Amino acid sequence: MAVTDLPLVAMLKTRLHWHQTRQKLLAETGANADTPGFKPKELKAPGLAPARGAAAVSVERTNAAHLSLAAARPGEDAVLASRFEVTPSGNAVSLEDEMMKVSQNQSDYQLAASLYQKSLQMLRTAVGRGK
Amino acid sequence: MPTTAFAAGAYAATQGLAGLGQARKPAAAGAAGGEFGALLQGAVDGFAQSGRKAEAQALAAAAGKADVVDVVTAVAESEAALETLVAVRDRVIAAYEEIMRMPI
Amino acid sequence: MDFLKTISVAASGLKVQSRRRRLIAGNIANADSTAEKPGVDPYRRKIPTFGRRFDRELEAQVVELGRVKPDPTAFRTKYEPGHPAADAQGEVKLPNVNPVIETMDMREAQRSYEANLNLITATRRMITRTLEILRV
Repeated sequence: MAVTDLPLVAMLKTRLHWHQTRQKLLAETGANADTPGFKPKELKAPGLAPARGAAAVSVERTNAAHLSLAAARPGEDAVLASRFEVTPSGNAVSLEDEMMKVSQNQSDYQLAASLYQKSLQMLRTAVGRGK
Repeated sequence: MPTTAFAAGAYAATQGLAGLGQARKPAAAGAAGGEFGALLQGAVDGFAQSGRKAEAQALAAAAGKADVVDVVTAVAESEAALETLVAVRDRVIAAYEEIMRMPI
Repeated sequence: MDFLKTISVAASGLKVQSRRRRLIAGNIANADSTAEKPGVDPYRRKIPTFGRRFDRELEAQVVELGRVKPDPTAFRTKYEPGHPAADAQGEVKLPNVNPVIETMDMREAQRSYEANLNLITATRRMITRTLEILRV
């Protein structure tokens, strides 16, 4: 009966983590725009399977030395350890493309956060104590 | 946030109320008391679980090591679980009192 | 933490682009700096190099300014016999700086700087929105 069992809430939480991770990748790409030999990376879309333990998100990394997101963050449900698959992004991307992606990522994140907040508020209203 | 553990313990005690109802009116309230008890137990468990997570996240945040998304979602969900628990508890108590008021 | 790491990564970009701009500004300022006497080279254009380093704590690749390289392009020469640095043929060596190219480089460095800054602003907004989930 835990509230985290609700698939919508869990899915939105996964999205929040995904966009957060993507922001870091975009920062890397932007900072290394002039670095020779740097290959921009991208995140694969997260597996949004509503099944509990939505670890449809896998652990692969193209290079073991890179980006391995911390597995067990304190207190986090081990089943939902969120790691996202990173893939090389193809040819060098232009600065404008990157800035557009950043802007898109930001609003997607804000949307997911709003929906997450609303879902919890609706839940609280349903039990009769919502704000 | 240690109060979450305290609160969880306090609410765990209230589920004894459902057990009381069961003893007094075995026929009518027996089945109902069992269901109420299970419901409340479920709410307490759910809250205890998310409350623990939220507390751990808050500690990590205080130590400067936590992911802000983790902290915020853990606390928000813990709050929702707590309100669910309180709502269930109130309903259980109201139902119990109503049953007790019934003339034998 | 991830958001804060993101900001650190972008900050490394800011630092690098900022120093790059200063380098370019130095080139522009010295575009006409000839030598004092003949036989001595005038100002030689400086080129920044970029390196990347994997930061373990941030779990990301940050950028760093590498060595500043001197541009090996040959110097321009101008015929000006009265100049203190004129050689036997009256030729004066001028810095190998092309102001047009430097201006373009400067604009590009500025744009990269602003792109990193934009990202930091966007990340801050995401953090704020996250905290708002808990409000009330």
